[in-house]
Amino acid sequence: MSNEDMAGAEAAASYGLSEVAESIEIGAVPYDRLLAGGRRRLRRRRLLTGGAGAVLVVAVAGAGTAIGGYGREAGGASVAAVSSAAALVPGRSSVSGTPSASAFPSPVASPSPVVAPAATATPAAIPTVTPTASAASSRTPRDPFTPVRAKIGEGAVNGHTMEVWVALWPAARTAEDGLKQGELIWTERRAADPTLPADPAESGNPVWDLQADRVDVYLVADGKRQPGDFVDATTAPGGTAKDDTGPTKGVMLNRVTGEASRPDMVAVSVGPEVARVVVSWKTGGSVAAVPVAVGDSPVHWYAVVRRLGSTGNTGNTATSFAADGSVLGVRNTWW
Amino acid sequence: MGAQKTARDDEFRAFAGSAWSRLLRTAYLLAGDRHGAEDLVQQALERAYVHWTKVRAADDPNAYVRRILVNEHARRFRRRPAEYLVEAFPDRPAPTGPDPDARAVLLAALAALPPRQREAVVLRYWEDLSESQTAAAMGCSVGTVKSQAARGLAKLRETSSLSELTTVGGGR
Repeated sequence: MSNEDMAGAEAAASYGLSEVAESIEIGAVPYDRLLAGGRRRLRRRRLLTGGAGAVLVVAVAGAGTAIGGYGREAGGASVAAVSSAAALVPGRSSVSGTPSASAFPSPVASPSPVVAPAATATPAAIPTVTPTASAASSRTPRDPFTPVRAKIGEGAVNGHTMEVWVALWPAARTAEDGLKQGELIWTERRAADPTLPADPAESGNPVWDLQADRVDVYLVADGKRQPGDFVDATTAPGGTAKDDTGPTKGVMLNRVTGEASRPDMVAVSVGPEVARVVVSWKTGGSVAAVPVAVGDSPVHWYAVVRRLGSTGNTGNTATSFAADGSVLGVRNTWW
Repeated sequence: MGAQKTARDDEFRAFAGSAWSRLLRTAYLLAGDRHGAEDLVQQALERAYVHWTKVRAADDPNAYVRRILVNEHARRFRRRPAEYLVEAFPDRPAPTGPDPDARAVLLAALAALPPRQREAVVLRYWEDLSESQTAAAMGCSVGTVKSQAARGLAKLRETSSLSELTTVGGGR
């Protein structure tokens, strides 16, 4: 490409991008949402920092023997700090202690009988269905080869029983363990979806990360695990990505009974300070969900059945509430 | 304490108000859709609020927040696995023939670029940053910016959108 051609291409790109960028309509600045979100992040940051400091003081005073266990590179103090900090959060759920929806007077109408998310219908039942090791306390050594599972929501679509599960694979401490863990996850996924390639290297999954747990979010329809799951790295206790989650981060699971290319359920991760979420559909109506803790992960999850016809990038909102009922944030959702 | 918080909030509000439209347009080019753009800007500004003392003390607060925005964009793509089913749910089927809206074609071509190429192109040719400023925003070398921007530009040229827009608008 000659210099003249290059200059012409750059000018065209500049013009074209300006055309596109200026085509978007600029609405009002959502000051309240920005401030609420910023304060929420700041609170979480201070809480974690304060918790770490408190644990450090205790450890120096000679009580550090209680802080054992996992011993990741970040240090036992950080691991314990998260547990300590979580205990300070009002209403923060343990694996078996997720707050009941009845503790929060719901301002929303009940969902339709067909679209009945479990979190609204039977909120107390969600955290108690734990087929494997989900009852393990945070003191249980974290085994990167044994996932902790929790059902984060359920519902019915077209007469099919739908459940969303999260398998939390604790962070591996060595690259070798990380690879082994990746193979185990892959084996489990291939069992549900034989069309996946045999080589885990083709998965495109996140690479091993000392600071990150891995989650596998999958759909169970009529008692059978379905293909089309979601695997991602997620913040581990003591990890550095403290602001990794937000009320709008989510994943759709839609390979089974819904309309073609339409999701049946959506699973969303939130921070531990979120005690309840109300999703309002743009087509009307809303649904409440109670986020569920999975093992000792600082990232909590909820899942709801999507309202048919609400597909689109805008219009649906998710409002997250703290345990005291205060609003933590209101976000437009992309799902 | 309360006065400090109020001052912090006031400063932040003023900054967010002035930076919002520019950040949103940049985010729109990076994310490819309005909602994704708003979410990206919101995340970036929330992070800016947390680190407000650093932001306000920076030589160029706009550049500081722009870097947060670019990092947030890069982080999302880094973390998104191949199995991620849906990013933005279409309300309508994808067009099967030529799109009459050249802007839509360009936006789609931009969205098809790898994230780093897209960032380089947007920062160089929309934000009109120098190569060194772009490198600072992307956290990479100037050489990387040059190569990523050149590749991205070459791919955009393969679409007809650039020439159509240039023909219609007469270039700039």
